[in-house]
Amino acid sequence: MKALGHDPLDIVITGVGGQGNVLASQVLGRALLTAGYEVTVGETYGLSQRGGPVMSQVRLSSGPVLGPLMPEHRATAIVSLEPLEALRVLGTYGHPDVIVITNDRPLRPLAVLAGEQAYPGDQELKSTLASLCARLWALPATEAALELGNHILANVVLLGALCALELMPIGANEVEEALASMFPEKLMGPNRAALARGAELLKEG
Amino acid sequence: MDVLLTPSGGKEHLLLGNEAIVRGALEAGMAFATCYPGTPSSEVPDTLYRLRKQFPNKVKYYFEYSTNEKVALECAAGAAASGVRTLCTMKHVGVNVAADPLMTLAYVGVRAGMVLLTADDPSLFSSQNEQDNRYYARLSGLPMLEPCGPAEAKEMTSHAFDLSEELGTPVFIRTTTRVNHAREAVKLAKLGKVKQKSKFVKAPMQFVTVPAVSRNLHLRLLNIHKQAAALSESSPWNKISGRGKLGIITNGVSYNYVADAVADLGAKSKIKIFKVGMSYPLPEKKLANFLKSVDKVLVVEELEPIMEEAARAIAQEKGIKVQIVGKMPGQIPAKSVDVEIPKFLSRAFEYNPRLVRSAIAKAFGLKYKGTAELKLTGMPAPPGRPPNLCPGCPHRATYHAVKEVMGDEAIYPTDIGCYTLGLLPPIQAADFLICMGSSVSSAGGISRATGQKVVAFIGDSTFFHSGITGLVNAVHNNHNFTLVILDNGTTAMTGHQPHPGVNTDSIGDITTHVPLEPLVRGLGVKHVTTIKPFKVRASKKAIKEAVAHDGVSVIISKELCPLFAKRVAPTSKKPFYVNQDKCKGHMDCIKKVACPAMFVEDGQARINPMQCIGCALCAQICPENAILPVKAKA
Repeated sequence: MKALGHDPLDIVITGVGGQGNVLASQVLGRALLTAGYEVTVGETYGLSQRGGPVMSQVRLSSGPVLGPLMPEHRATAIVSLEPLEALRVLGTYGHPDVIVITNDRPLRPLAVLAGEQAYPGDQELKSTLASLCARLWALPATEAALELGNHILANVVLLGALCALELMPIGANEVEEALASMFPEKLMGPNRAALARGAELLKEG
Repeated sequence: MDVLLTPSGGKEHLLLGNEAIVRGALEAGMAFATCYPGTPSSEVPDTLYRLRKQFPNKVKYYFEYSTNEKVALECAAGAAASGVRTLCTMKHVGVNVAADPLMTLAYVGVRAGMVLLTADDPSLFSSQNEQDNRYYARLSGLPMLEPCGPAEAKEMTSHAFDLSEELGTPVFIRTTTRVNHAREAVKLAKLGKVKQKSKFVKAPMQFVTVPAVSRNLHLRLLNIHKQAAALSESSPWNKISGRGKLGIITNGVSYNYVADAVADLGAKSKIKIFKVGMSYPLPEKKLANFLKSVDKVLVVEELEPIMEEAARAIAQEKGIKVQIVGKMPGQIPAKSVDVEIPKFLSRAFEYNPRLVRSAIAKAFGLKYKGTAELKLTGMPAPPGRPPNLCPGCPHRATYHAVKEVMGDEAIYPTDIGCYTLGLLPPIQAADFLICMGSSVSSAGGISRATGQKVVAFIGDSTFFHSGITGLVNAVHNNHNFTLVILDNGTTAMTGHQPHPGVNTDSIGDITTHVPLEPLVRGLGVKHVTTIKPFKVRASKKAIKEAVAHDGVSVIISKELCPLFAKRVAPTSKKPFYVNQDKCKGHMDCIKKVACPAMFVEDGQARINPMQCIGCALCAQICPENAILPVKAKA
């Protein structure tokens, strides 16, 4: 069992209801448990399943089992399936040393679609996010997922990127095994490709 | 095979709190389970339902989604009185519905283990209030166990069946959202032996609660309570850890926040923690000894100051000179948790690790030397993302038609389900809501008291849950309003559970379908119309006729929830697009309909073909007929 670079290691996975972040946190939790770590996953949803924000937290430690919520401003990394949600979570869980990996594809809230509220511009949002964290990766995860045949794979693309960061004591192989324990083999091809694509995207920067 | 059905014990699996409760029940040999779904409890019954369907030959329990919590508890009570181990699950407000049978079930007791799960929802993630159901243990006199996480949830559920059988009384498991919806490693034990069938042995002097019987049964309950209090003193769930002259009394998920915070504060050698797991009856002697052993005690419990009041009473009674602090006398947060995360312990909203850490630091004069916090001044406020009705949701079409006919003048009592989102602009057809079923009954009150036009909305599952009696009342008392039953063929909000009105063939269940329209007619409603809400003109006509009817009229708006339909009855409707040459930018589609598949670009409406499911509502609203189906590729 590898020692943890951060102990506890606190990862927030956030996004909009339906993007699959609860599933992503479950995959990560399974992979970490199988590798022998103490892991707690907390999920925050509710009415938010109908297009509202959904957040889950993966907490990892070498010591005793941790509670399902991390303290505010203490996330080690934030993985977001939607850039605005990265900003929202940074407000509560961010701090100057946090690392952010976000999908760069906006999902505009209803009031924005109707032209009543403004969604920040791409560049403005990126530079704001960058100024609030130690390192930002804004990756075309949805685009990559669509190339692989289904937009829903964006969560796995981002998991691939997270593994490539080498922040966690496990890598893409362990995550792939966790996925394989949850999905039939016929769906594993695209999942494997999504993990690999995520790693490439991260390395491309 | 599902890990939850693994016969042998020993292995650890990452389980959701609610899955852990299921496993605990299976390890205890549960034979019978009833429920009404509701967040945060729903994954318990949903898992039981799924396992039974996927593994009919492996599963040895009976399971049902009951029509409401009262029915669920009464059905469970019958099974437990017959001698089979029974689980009954509901969310916190469900216990209000079940409170009538609960209070007297506590008198008659059970002949086999019976566990009642109450899943509370501090901070109201998906509820109409955040009541503290620990009071129900006190009100009914039934024992209560409170797990701090999934692993303990499994152990406690299993143990609760034994405890219930030992005492001859039902036992509560009380969770909160953070326990139900957390995942952690849970170590399995062996699956229990299941006694599937029993025989009801007559004992009217125990089970028929006429006054002369119940007078004795009340004494039975009080004696059981005394026995339970003694068990609580030695219960493995009431445990003390750490050392020092400072003490913390805590329960449930708050225990995790306390443990994390004491470690964060480097105060493990100064603070000892009393973790209350069997929270009713409280272990008063053990608490008294704990209070004696420390100079100062902080009580950390979400919602009501129940343990704090108990600690104060114990200290007073025993003359223990210890300073007790917590949330009393009762500071009230200035703002809702949506606006500002609370900074001090109060009776409102869930706690969180930082709040608990600062409360401990403040109570005991400790300093936190943690990481720097981010200065967020100057950070742009992200636009909000309220939940909304899905693209192609039939509720949107029904609301649109009713609003077109009735405008803003009519009063719109509403009910609990996805359609409560009709509160939000631009629909804004929600004026009164207090609980499941209140739409129907309150509509009578409002129309009688004011003479105003009233149109009430209720979902199909909610109608079966508690709308029927209200409707009978309205017919009998000659009320005057229109009830719209939003019949989307499922229980959409909580995750598409079946209910009596669901077409059972489509989901392969062997339950019996109770169709809505004959039921409503049978209740005595004279004016009943079933509409297809995506046929806008016909729907509006039917609504006009219904509201013109003198007396109670019912519109059944029948169209499957599109998320459910995707699974059971997929269609191949084409998405729509806006013809840019025809669109003159009226924005009726955007303003009246607020579909997440639509957006504004260059002063015109546009449709996102990835989101549009082709319901054609907007196409019928556009005054220029500019919205058309995407043609199949040539």
